[in-house]
Amino acid sequence: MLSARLQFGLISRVILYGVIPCISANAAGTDWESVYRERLAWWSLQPVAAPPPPSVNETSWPRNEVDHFILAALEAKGLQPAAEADPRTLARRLSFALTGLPPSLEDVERFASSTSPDAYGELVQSLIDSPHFGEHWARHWMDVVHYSDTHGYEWDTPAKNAWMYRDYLIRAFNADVSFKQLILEQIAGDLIEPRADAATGLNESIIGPMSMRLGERRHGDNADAEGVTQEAMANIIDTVSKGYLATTVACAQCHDHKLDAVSQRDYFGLAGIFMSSRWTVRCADTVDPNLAVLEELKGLKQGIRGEMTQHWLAADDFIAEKIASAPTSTPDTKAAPPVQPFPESLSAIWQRINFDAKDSGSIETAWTAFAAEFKSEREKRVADNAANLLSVADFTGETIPAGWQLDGSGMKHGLVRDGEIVVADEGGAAIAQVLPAGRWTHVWSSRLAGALRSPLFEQDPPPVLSVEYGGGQFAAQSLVVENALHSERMKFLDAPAQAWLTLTAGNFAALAGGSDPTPRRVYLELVTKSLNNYFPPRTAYGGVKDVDEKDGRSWFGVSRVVQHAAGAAPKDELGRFGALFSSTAPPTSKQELSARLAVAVMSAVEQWRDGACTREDVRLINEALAAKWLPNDALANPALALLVAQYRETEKRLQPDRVVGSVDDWNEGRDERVGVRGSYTEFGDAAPRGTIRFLGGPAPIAHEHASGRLEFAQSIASDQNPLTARVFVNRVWGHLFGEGLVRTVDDFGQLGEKPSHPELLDWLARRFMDEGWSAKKLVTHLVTSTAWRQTSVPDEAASAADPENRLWHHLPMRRLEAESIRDAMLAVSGRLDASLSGEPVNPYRVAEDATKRLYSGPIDGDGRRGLYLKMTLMEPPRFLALFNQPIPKVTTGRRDATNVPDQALALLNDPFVIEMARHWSERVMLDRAASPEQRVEGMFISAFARPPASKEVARLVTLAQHCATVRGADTAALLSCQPVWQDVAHAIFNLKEFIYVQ
Amino acid sequence: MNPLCPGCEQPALTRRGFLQRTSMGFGQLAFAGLASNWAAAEARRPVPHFAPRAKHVIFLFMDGGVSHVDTFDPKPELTKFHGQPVQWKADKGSQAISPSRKWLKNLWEFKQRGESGLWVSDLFPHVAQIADDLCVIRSVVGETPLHGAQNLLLHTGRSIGAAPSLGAWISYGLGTENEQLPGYVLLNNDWVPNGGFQNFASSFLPATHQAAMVRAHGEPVDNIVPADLGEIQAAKLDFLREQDAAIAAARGGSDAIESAIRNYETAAHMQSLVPDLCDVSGESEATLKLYGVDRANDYDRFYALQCLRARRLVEAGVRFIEITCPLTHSNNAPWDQHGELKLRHEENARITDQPVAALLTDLKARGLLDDTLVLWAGEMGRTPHSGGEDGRDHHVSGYTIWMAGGGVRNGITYGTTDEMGMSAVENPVDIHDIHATILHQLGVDHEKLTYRFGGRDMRLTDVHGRVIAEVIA
Repeated sequence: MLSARLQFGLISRVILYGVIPCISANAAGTDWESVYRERLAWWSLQPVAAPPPPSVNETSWPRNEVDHFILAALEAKGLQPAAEADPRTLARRLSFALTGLPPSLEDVERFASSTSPDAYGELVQSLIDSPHFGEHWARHWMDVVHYSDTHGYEWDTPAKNAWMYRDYLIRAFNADVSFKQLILEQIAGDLIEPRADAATGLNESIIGPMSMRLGERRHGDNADAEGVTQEAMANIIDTVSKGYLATTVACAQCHDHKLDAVSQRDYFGLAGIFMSSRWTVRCADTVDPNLAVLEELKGLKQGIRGEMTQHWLAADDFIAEKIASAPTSTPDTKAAPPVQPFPESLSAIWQRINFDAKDSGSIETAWTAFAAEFKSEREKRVADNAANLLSVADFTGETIPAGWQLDGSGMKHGLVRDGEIVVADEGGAAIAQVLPAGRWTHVWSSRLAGALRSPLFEQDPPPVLSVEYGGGQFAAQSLVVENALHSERMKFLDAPAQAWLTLTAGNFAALAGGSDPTPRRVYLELVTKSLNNYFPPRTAYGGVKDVDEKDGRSWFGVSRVVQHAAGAAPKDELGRFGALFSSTAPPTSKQELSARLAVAVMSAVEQWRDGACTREDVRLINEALAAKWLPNDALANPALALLVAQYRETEKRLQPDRVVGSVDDWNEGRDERVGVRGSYTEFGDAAPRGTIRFLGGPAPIAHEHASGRLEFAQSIASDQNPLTARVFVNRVWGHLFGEGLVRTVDDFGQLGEKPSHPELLDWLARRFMDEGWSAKKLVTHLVTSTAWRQTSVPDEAASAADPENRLWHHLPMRRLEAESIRDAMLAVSGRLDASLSGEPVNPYRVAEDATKRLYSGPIDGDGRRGLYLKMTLMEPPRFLALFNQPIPKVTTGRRDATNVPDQALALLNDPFVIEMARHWSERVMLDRAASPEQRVEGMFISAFARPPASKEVARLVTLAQHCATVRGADTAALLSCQPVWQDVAHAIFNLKEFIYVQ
Repeated sequence: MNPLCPGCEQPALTRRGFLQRTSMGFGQLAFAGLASNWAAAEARRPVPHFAPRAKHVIFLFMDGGVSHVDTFDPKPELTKFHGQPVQWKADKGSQAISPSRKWLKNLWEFKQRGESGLWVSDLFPHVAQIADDLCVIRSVVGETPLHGAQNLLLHTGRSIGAAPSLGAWISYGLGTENEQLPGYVLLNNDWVPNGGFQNFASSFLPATHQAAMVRAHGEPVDNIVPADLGEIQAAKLDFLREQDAAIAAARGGSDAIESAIRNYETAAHMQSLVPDLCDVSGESEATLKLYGVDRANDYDRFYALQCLRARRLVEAGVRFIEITCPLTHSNNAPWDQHGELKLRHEENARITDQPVAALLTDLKARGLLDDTLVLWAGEMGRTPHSGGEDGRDHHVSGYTIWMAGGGVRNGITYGTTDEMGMSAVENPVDIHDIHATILHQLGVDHEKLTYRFGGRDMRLTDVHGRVIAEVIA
């Protein structure tokens, strides 16, 4: 457990993600400038050329330009390309390559039997148009950004709606959104013109930055343990630089890069950008889906207000009596009068005067004495506040105070004048509370989200602030230090309207086990559950239970923020009692006293009725409501009951805000200083924030206080960038051809490999950019080449001359990726749920662990494809991990395809495989096959997209008969014995041909 | 019931029944010609760099952090100043202390044990009896007082990120003595420690070197219990062999397919071998009693069982065996006693003390301790001071681990902390030093055990590590 007394981080240097903090190659005073110049000559940093496709001898072979490059290289070595694969092989290969799923049998048959020269192109087009194309290519990119649904480490905290980002990728690849646009969105989606998705109404751009938040993230902040945020930023720099640029910039955290043209200043230039960004949860709705419902609620609330007005005014008849029935003394008043607070409510005044009257003999004298005391107390408080308080922000008007930010539809629709009522969403009361002027997220419903974030606070000295606020149902406040993701300074709010929250921004003594002498960038955040980065927090934090996580209700509001000296917090000025004590004649009896207090309440109610009440009136009304002096029964009459019921029903129709972990650019802009050997506590010069020098280096940032993230994104998403397009087309090539033209797809530096066909790489990159950075056009171009249509059986001479197939004299056979193995079983067995998108499904687990939120899901994952299984970083889905789904901590552009006995054990014994075999067998029982041979043939075609040879049929039938014999079944009635067909199905899943594609 | 299909009603064979039919017996397991991918990896394995002192490692992972000042590092000054506010100057390697914290005396009495006179507290009465076999290091310094960071540091040499585990490095470096078994076995019970499965991962090393997890209870290893009756599975395997071979042949041979075919042979044998290894019913009554496998409480019994299995795995040739502690209560990690120190440390001791001592005793009696290095370590110690009366917090500036066997000196202590147990003041060692020393005992130079990844030669010890020559016999 992270102790509240957590001491401090001893992190003097960090070694991240397998990066050796190696000794600087130019440590001994070598001039970086000349080293840098020399390294700039590296191939991948040269501008993308536009080489013409070379001519070839065998002119009938090429179908497109790709083939010219491939064939020319083969001819230069005197090698032959492989023959074209047969149509069924091609159909299966295409389907897995483009959609990750086995082909539909209709497609295979149509294609195999067609003689049209357009048949192949049509098949390609149909697969490119398939919605599963987006799923498959999204999953490829998810390896690059190391997609995870949780953050691992100690508590496996959820990554805030990461699945919305997965769905964003699916939509983007399906819609063929320009990759250039996707780069801008994923790095700086908060800073560009929002791109709305017509079908979902989502602001796609704001979802993009989730790409940077994925993977291992710690809880706590830099004041807890120095380096927590920097570590996360190092992971972002590593991911972004490898992902888009195939450059290992994170190597330069501790020293200038050993071999590439990246300096430590470059690293800290980027670190400055990311350290200057706020990692917040953002609303992703482009249009307000609730306007019509809100109109209905307004009407209903108007009606409720009308009814309540009648009820409350009628209280005039009995309110004095109710007040008089309140207790007249508290036992300990006399015991310790000096510490007894000055009465700040009508009931306290009632008690005090009654109590004093026992001593002084009469209500009259007690009143007179107290009225004098009140007058001086009030004057003192008013004077103190006037002297002490400096208004920092006022939220009672339309204008949002400068430097503050509001988010969420609750906040948007939450501006109210004094006296706004909140209709109770359940229970016997009609009204939950009356609000003072300000912004309140629950004016219409506590299901609407809200966030309020402050500008950065001064740190030297840190100001003391008081916020007039209210909040509950796990809305939270947090002082966010150095843009921490999961601040353990978060506290849940539990205060009625009009409470004061006093904070010292930067007082970390209690948390750091001593004083934290480092000036920190700190801002205040008040958030409802859904806009809270750290909700749900680590298990049991702050008493959050499962039911609280699932309940969407949460609310808070603010009226104003003031600054003051320590110990000079705002005081209640008691204005609401001014009129009470201004009358000259004191009451002479208890009865008269209660009548006076009743008048105070009723005048507040009248002011409220007239729309003229003040925040002081609001307090009186709230007191009267809480004390049940004013009626508040939702069932008081049929009209009110109906209105309240309608309100509650209508309120349920409000669509909660759709929110996602994203990023924000605020006023944090600050350059980082170069950490000495990567240290978080020892610094050298400041490094101006900006892009890597070989991409132009730090450029002027549009706004002084902006992070520079937009400018950095633009330097990547640029036709002038020598790397971005090359790196992307190489990734796509790798996915389709088995290896990249540069096999080290994540490293184009000196530690990576050089391209096998540099001209082809450039030609593809140039064309990709010229065609608007279209992934679909690129994929189409590659799979329609003759090169891609080769068989996977190599020519012997070519194999001998080029055993690694660097020249692509055949298309290598490949094992399916983990998700495709699982998806293929779902598809073939008929269990696949082909629907797209949605919240992740827990993988099946033998054991659950509630403290880490590791829960088990259905064995078949509800039939959903592999990319919808929950990627819990603490324990990724085991079946997928077994087949090399990468651990989502670092960029993995090229997956391994290991071949280990555990995989055989899984295919033989894993409950998922058995379940799929059972499902498939139950389905084939309905196939009306006339013979075991016929059934076997059908199953074989389903699995492999090709008809079996007669020997293959015979083997399967023999297997079926053998199994039937062992099971004691009648071999003559083979067709109706389901367990036997489960055996056959299971055996087919275990054939190598099932998990390999040729 | 389907009358045409009586097989549906036939009761499935029990696991034992299956094993009786298919088990090959322990001695027959060194099959010839069953080259698995583990064996294929052998080709790339670096040979030992010098004569090894140990062939196996057993890592007893004390997850959560055992209090060093309550177990192996006595501090009479704590008793003297018990309850007094902590005034301690923060220096490098120590911590700034809040004035509200008070010194907390050791809660269990320390005594000198055996001929060596090694100090062991009454918390560990069984281990106290084998004190003469221990090499206690009292001066371990970690990096960050957080479980996740320290767990990963202890296991992988990195406090964050994705590096291979010590066990994976050793499996990779030394290869396996038994081609049918993985080089790194984790005796666990589905308990995921802080830092997650990364603690046991092969990361960039070949996947064969990641820990194979063996549960104390239920199916010992994922997918190890055959889903099919023996004869049915045999029929399927026959079919697969024939059909796959035909496909491979039609393609003029395919390494990948042929290797996958061999994996089925290996897998089939693992199905019997692994449960056999896990089954301790053939052990003598005395042995079972020694470990405490006969104890009534599940936690006690399971931990004892795993310790006994560790010895069997050493005998079977597994290089690196790790045993984790069970989590008995609602907490972050088993030994993480911010509160309930007395209760929970005693509970953890009850679970682990007897089996750990038994394991050493048994290994010694069988002559296995000489070439088996036992490491007893948590990821941190606990603070000598407390915010309350019955809890200690995270502490990494000087804490205790011990080793035994495998050519390390016995009956000694190495390194010291200051008089309050706050910081290592003499012979401080870090985790890299411990890793380097373990590798050294296995005949491996930690600077030469490398794996090329992302163009770099990666090391377990990164650019750090010193073999602690003073603890080597």
